[in-house]
Formats: sequence, structure tokens, C-alpha cells
Amino acid sequence: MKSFLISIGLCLLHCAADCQYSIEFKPILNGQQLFLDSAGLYTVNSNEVVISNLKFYVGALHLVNHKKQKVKTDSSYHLIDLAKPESTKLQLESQEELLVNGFRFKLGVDSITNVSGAYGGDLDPTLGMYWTWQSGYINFKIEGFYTTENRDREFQYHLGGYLNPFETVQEIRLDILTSKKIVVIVDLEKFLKSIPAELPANIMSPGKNAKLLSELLVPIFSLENE
Amino acid sequence: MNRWILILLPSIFLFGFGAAELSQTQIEIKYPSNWPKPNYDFEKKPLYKERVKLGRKLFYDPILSRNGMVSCASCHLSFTAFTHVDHALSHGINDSIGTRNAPVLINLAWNNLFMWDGAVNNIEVQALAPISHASEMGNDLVTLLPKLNEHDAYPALFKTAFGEEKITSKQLLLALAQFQLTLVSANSKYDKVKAGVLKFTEQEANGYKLFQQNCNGCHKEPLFTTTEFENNGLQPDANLRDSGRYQVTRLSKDLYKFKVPTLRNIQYSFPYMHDGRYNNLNEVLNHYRADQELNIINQQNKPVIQITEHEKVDLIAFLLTLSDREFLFNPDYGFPRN
Repeated sequence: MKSFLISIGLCLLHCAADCQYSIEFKPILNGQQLFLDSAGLYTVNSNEVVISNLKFYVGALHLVNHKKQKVKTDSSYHLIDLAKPESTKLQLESQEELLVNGFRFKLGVDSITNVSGAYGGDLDPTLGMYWTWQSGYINFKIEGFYTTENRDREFQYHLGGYLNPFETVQEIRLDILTSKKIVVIVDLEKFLKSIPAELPANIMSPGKNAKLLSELLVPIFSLENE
Repeated sequence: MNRWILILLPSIFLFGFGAAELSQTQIEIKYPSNWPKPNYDFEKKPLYKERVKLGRKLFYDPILSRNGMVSCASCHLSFTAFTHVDHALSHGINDSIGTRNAPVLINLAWNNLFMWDGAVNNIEVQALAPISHASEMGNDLVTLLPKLNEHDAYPALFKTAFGEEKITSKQLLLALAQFQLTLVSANSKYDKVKAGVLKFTEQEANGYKLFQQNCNGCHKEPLFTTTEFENNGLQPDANLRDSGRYQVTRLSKDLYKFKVPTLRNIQYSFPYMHDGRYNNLNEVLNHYRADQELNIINQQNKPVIQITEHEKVDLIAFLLTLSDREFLFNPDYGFPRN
């Protein structure tokens, strides 16, 4: 027992390059990696689908231990934009070895940030994720179209809104991490299939529908090889 | 080698920060001591003379609009309390008509929410709305920023104001906000009476009493607004179909609610109401008077005041004491000559 504790102690003190945690967001459709503007590759409910735009904010990134205590935090916001592959990869650096059991993050921008004025960086309002006619960030944006004859239609979901009762930011909790290389699967087939058929194909303002769709985003995030 | 890095790093930092700090002069807005504290967090984001000056230049520059024809000042003229006089609904580029009356820009530092429906939640992001609106400036920041970065004068002005090489949207928005935060009106006859320097006439004093009895609930002193949203019983315009605050919150309690405007400089900010339907104060007061025909949709919400024709004249006499000519003709607010 004593030697076990000592070895953990040594492990905590000793930390070289392998203390870095890499996080990659990997959108998939039909179990395959998602590429933008690719025709003939994917279907949803037997309808061929093309995704032309996928962007979302992640923030308040936490690594937690088996007691759900936060052991590492990155409080900044990151815009994950599939059109910019480098944006899908993030790093969490640590000075010491951590005992990590889970990964948590906010999907979207919290209300405090939404009301606190002009930001630059990933929160710059020129990045197509800020509404101009009404203050507030778009948390999750997906655009595309179905190409099958009887359902040839475009869809645009710009999901956001920070005011109660239509607040849309979600917390994603992913447990049982075994590796320092965290790959987060974003299953868009699951999302598109779960959208109620009676909803409009264009949802681009805060409200009841945006809130409903935002909640449907929670289960589409999972860890690879979970 | 390591030692060199240690010596060099601090000097780079000192030089870098020093250069930025040296050119910026912190300033503060002035307001009477009995006023509430501004809502804008000046401690966190102080005003700088260079940023205010830059914001003022931008405010008057039609470069912000897509076709270079419309500036902020086109609809917000300093001489008329920063509103669009004589226009019920303001017009932007290509003579497009908007859907609301341009609001006054007065004492904005005391506001939390902006626009008639409160759609904008911070003065720093307010400019995004008119810049991007198809009927206002019809532009977007992605088009505008390269224009500013390639401009003859702006890169140097932004560098002086912010100490950074490239013009960003954040700097642009902050500069515009900083200028507008300096637009403080606190030198009306009313203020001078409160400060003990002047006295109301008998008529004005009577009007003030009527004001306190009937209007002060929403148009609360000393800012003459609670900055809240209220339904004042106006019949919704059949063409505009404007549901007001509801459009932002999607809550039925907010249907037909609009921001309570300040009454400061009300003499100059006609026409009145969110759609500019009333041309003079007489018409406004008739709307609120009990003997007016009540409208159908909004009747239960209408605040009713009971005053005689004579009292109406006195009340208007008081409202005119809220005019602040030092504000309207302040040389720091007008078109920048140099």
C-alpha cells in the first residue's frame, strides 16, 4: 500500500510532455467521418443528405476525477468549425500528472458572456455565430440539404438564446476516460433523425424550437471507443 | 543563453505595454451627485479620450454603410437629441424605410437594454444592429473591416486608441460605444432647479406636480425613465404589426411592450412613440387622457391620466424644462471638424 502511494506521488510530481491532454471533436454521419459538401456519402432516414456548414461553441472545459472533482479547467470559449479542421483540435496542458476519469464541457455560450459586450478571438461577432438584430451568440449551427426527390429541401438550424425560459446552452458530461487522447464523437445522424417532423426546416432565432433542438444535441456527444 | 531570454522578455513587455499606455488618456463622464450609478461598468472598462474621439469620427462617417451614404448621425442628429427629427420611421440606405422611430441617444450609460424592444443587451454590441440591418446601413463587418484597415486615416487612429496593429470588430464596436457613453444630458432647467441655481415658474411648478402624480411611475426622475418595458395602450399599427418586447422574449406578458423612453429633451425628439405616430406633445397627452377613445386590443393596459386642458398646458411647460441646450450644442458631440 505504502509503495503504491509513493508511486502515485512520484507520478504526480513527474510530468513531461505526456501531461498534455488532446481533445478532438469528430463529427460523424452514418458512422463515418463527416466531410462538408460531400454528395452521395450520407443518408438520414433513407434521404440523401449533404452538410454544408457545421460550427459550434464549446466552453468551460473540465477534466474531472472519479469523485467528479474538477482537476483541470479551461474557461475560454472555442469555436469548433468543421470548415477549419485545425479548430476541431484543442489541448489541455497540465503541470502535473492528473487522475482523470471524465470530461465535461458547455455546449454554447453562457448568459453572462452573452450580455457582457464585445469580444474578440473565437467570440468575435464576425465569425457568423452572432446575431446582429438581437444580441446573442448562436451556440450550434448546422446547414445542409436533402437531395432525395420527394424531400428536396434545405435546412438551417442556428440554435442559440440565453434568456429564460429559452436558454439553450447545454452541459455535456462524458465519463470513463482511459487515454490522454480524448476523441469526442458528434453523431449528426442521431441529431437529424431525432428532429420532430413537424418542426420547420429553418430555425434561426431563440425560442421554444431552438431550445428543443438544443436539448436533442446532448446525447449526440460521446467518447470514441467508449 | 537562458539568461539573455530572461533579461530580454521583461523589456519587451515594458516597451509593448508602455507604448500602448502612454498614448491613452483615461476620462470620466460627469453627472449630478444625486443620480444613480451608471449601469455600464466604467471601472472594468474605463473611457479613453482617444477611443471616444475615434468613436465620434466613426459615428459621423458614412463609411460604415454599404454604399457610403449613411452614417449613424444620419438618423441620430446631435441638435435634435440624437434622433431623426420629422421622420416617423427612419430611412437608411437606398431610401429604405425602417419599422421604428429612431430613439434618442441620451444617458445611455444608465441603460441595460437597447432598442425599443431591448433586443440589444449591451451598448458595445449595439452598433452591429444598424450596421447590418438591410434598411439601415445594409453592411456587414466582414466587408467593413478591410475597408477600415485599408483606409488612409483609420489604422493610425485605431492604433493610437487601442495600441494594436490591426483593426478588429471589437475595437470598432468599443470605440462607437465609448463615444455614445459620453452623451450625458444633465444641464436642463430642471437640473438647475434641482441644484438650487434656478427656479420653476408657477406654471412649470404646477406641471412638475402633475408630472409627479401621473408620469413619474414610468418616466422616473432623474433619468425620466425606468428603462423598463411597458405597454402604454397604443393600438398596434396594422401594417407594422410590431409586437415589441415579445419579439425578443417570446413571452405573452411582453406583447406590445416597448422601452420607456427618457423625457429629457423631449421638446426636440418629435415625432413620438416607437412608430413616431404622434407629432407633438399635445397628441401624446391626449393619448393618455381619460376622455380619449380607448382602443380595442390594448385597452386594459392603458395608463390613464385625468387632467384638464389647462393642466395639460402646465404639464407641457414642465416637460420643456427638460431641454438641455448645453447637451444639444455640446461641441464635443457634433460633427468632428478636424
